[in-house]
Amino acid sequence: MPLLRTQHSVLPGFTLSFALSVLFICLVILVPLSGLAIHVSQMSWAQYWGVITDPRSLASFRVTLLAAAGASGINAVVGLLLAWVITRYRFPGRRLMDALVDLPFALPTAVAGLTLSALFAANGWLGQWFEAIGISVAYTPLGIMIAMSFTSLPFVVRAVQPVLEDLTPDVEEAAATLGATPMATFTRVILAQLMPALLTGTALAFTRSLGEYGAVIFIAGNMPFETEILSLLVNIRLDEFDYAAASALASVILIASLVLLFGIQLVQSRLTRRWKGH
Amino acid sequence: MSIRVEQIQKRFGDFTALDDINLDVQEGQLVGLLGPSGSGKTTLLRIIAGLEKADQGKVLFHGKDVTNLDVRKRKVGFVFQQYALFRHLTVADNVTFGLRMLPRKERPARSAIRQRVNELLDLVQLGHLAGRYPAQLSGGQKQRVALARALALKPDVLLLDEPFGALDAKVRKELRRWLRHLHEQISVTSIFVTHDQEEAMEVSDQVVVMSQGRIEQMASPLTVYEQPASRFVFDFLGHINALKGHYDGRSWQAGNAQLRLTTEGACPDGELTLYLRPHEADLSKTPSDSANLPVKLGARSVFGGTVTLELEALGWPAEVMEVELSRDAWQALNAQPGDTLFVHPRQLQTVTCDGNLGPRVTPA
Amino acid sequence: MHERPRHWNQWLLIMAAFAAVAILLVMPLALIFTEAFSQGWAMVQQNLTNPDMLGAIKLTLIVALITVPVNLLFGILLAWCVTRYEFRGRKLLSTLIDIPFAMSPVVAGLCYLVVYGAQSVVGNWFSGMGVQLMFALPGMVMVTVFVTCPYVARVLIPLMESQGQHEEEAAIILGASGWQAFWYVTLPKIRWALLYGVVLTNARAVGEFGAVSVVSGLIRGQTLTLPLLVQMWNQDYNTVGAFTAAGLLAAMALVTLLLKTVLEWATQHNTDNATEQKTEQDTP
Repeated sequence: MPLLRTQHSVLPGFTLSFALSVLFICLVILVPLSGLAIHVSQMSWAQYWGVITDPRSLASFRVTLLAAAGASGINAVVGLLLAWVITRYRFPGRRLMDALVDLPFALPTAVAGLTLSALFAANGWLGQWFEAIGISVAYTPLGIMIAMSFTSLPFVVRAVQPVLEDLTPDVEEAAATLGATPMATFTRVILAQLMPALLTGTALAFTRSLGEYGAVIFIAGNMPFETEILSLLVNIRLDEFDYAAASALASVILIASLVLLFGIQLVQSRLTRRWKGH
Repeated sequence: MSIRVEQIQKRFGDFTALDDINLDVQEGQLVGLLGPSGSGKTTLLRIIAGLEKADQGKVLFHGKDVTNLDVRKRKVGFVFQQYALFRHLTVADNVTFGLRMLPRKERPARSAIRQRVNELLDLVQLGHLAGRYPAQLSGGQKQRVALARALALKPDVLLLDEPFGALDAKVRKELRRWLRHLHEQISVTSIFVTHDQEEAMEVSDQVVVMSQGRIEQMASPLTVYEQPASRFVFDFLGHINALKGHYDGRSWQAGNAQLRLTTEGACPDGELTLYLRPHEADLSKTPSDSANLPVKLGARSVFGGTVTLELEALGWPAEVMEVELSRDAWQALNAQPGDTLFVHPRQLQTVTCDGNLGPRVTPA
Repeated sequence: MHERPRHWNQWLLIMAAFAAVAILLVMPLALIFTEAFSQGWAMVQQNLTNPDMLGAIKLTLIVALITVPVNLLFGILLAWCVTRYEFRGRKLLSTLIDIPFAMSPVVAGLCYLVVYGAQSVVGNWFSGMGVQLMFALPGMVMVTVFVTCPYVARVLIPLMESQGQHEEEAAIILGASGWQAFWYVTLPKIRWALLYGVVLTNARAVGEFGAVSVVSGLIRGQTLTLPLLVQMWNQDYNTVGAFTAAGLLAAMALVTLLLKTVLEWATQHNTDNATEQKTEQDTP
């Protein structure tokens, strides 16, 4: 295929692997996505707009966005803390901590949802402490935020860890010889180099939180206008056989996710080229 | 700013890195700390900088005791072997970093900072790369940026840790010369660490030879080479031809080789080892009364104006010898590989029985 | 790099990290088992042998058993294609594989429903042959395949990229066919990474909730996987039962974590050796 290949390779099997890969990607990924796009395009603009601007839809956008933003914020801080401690210090239990960070990745979201809702219920192990100071967690946006930050925590930690591990001590020593205080060294030298990874990880966490379903619906209470997330509303519309509304709402999440995904990739490659030279 | 180091002691667990180090560096000097790895030279440099703390002893800058002074306050410029540039900052921003770390009261105006950066970048001839990032520079360029950055705050002391160790040979030579030239322009007291003898000899005003945590000798490059204070210094600098034989009071003998000389350096049983430096011998096609060392000419390598010859001892036990001749002397000799030649040492170093350096002798 | 903390404020950070891990990770995990066993071991056994539970376990296993090999094959194909040849659109292909990662599972379920459901072109054709895709096993498998397809490829691509293709080329020159080059040369080099990808794929396939719940129809006894059972029993106020099912899944998650850690170490070992070999080639 001279049009496609840019370099000749000795290894056979290009045609087969390429064709099968493309076939698979089409069947599994592209066709369903475009199917949704086509379905949505069959709606009139007025219809589409009507669904999007419906008060209940708008409420779900608000709930989901705010909770995801809050969760990402928590993840940025806690994730940075965990990555820092695991990479830089040696203490008993470090390896266990490192392994546990991946728990949200390995645990089914429904299980996470179930246990978090019990943990933070009014009489739960942690929930009772919150109740004592007058804060309700279960059935509130706060609960949604906690569930979202549980499932997305590993993104930040795993994004920051390799960059932290790459930092050599001589750069910090150089900063010291140039008169930088420990705080200045942390903010101007270390954090500055971590920032892209931190932002990437947080953006990934945000993207995941936007679409999180299983972990949230147990703890949220799912009250329309108050604690109803977008994914749930899509599901509800599906149950009502209102495929049009469901598709319209789903398209919003889809576009947001894709934009975020490609945006993150772009920023990442740009910075890698500038800082690593290749 | 003169530097004085008194009775510095440093241990890492069981390993003694520095043992009773005393050093005096005069203002404006460029001193090279030379030694093999493990000699303690980098540890000493870092203690002077304040990046490590000695277990015992004092560090004084211009008479003031800075032993417990934090590195940030010592006003030292430090250049690292792997450059340690801030990869998220441009070249210009790297150089201004120190200036921006100054407390507000001491910090110069932004225009003054910009001017200083331009001055420094011109000094290191990298003005045209001010906007680049470290990843886009070559090794030599990176090190020059590191130097400019270290000089930005006009430090009293400049410390360099194997500054050219990570660069390839040609760049190393160029930068060496360039550093020497720079030092002549800005005479700031400088100490650099290296394991490369040629580098130390070429660049330094004074060479400090170190081994196993101790200072073996501190002197000018010429002195260290011609009047080594200890066996280690002699061994470490330059190649040595070791001649082991027997001395009977009048001449040294080994197999059918003979040298007529007078010395007291022999062991009680008559064993005598002589060291011969490659450039302190001549070659001819005939022996003389004072020197009969027959050798067979082996490989020959030419570098610049010097010819280095490999010689195999004929009829007497010795390892392959190396002799350096000037190009002219070599051409006058007109010899072919395989020819029999005779070595005529101009000077020899005796080694005493307990392994120290004895007196120098001349065959006569 | 890892130094023993010397200042009290460093210990403070470590304590804070422990607190965060305890609250966010350890407690939720512990609660699952506490609740599951809150009515005793006998109750747990009863729940585990409940027909709905057994049916859910069986269904979950079937879905995983089909999904994992499919994605294994696909992941290898894609990784081979993307890392062994140069062609236009290579970067695009490798970005496309990341899409399922970023998508909401419910949206994924919806997409499949729309495209492969009974009223669509494809769905109609299948119904004509008496095969139901959506609200039945096939649909659940398809959606699970979608959600888990990035894992194997994402693990293999950077590894195969860094390993280079010199060894395969050497094999070809010595007369091996493409298939032989892959089987005898590539496969041994990537086997730990492959296992790692399989472990991740499996964990996700077993645990997938949102996407599967949309296309399953939630028919008791027929289209309930374990995660869906957790939700159903919770809604039935069968709390202990729900936690028991959750406990089963959590136990699997812990095994996954263990395998992951072990295989991560083995893969890192491989990558280090590979890059070592590569730099040895560059310096004469």
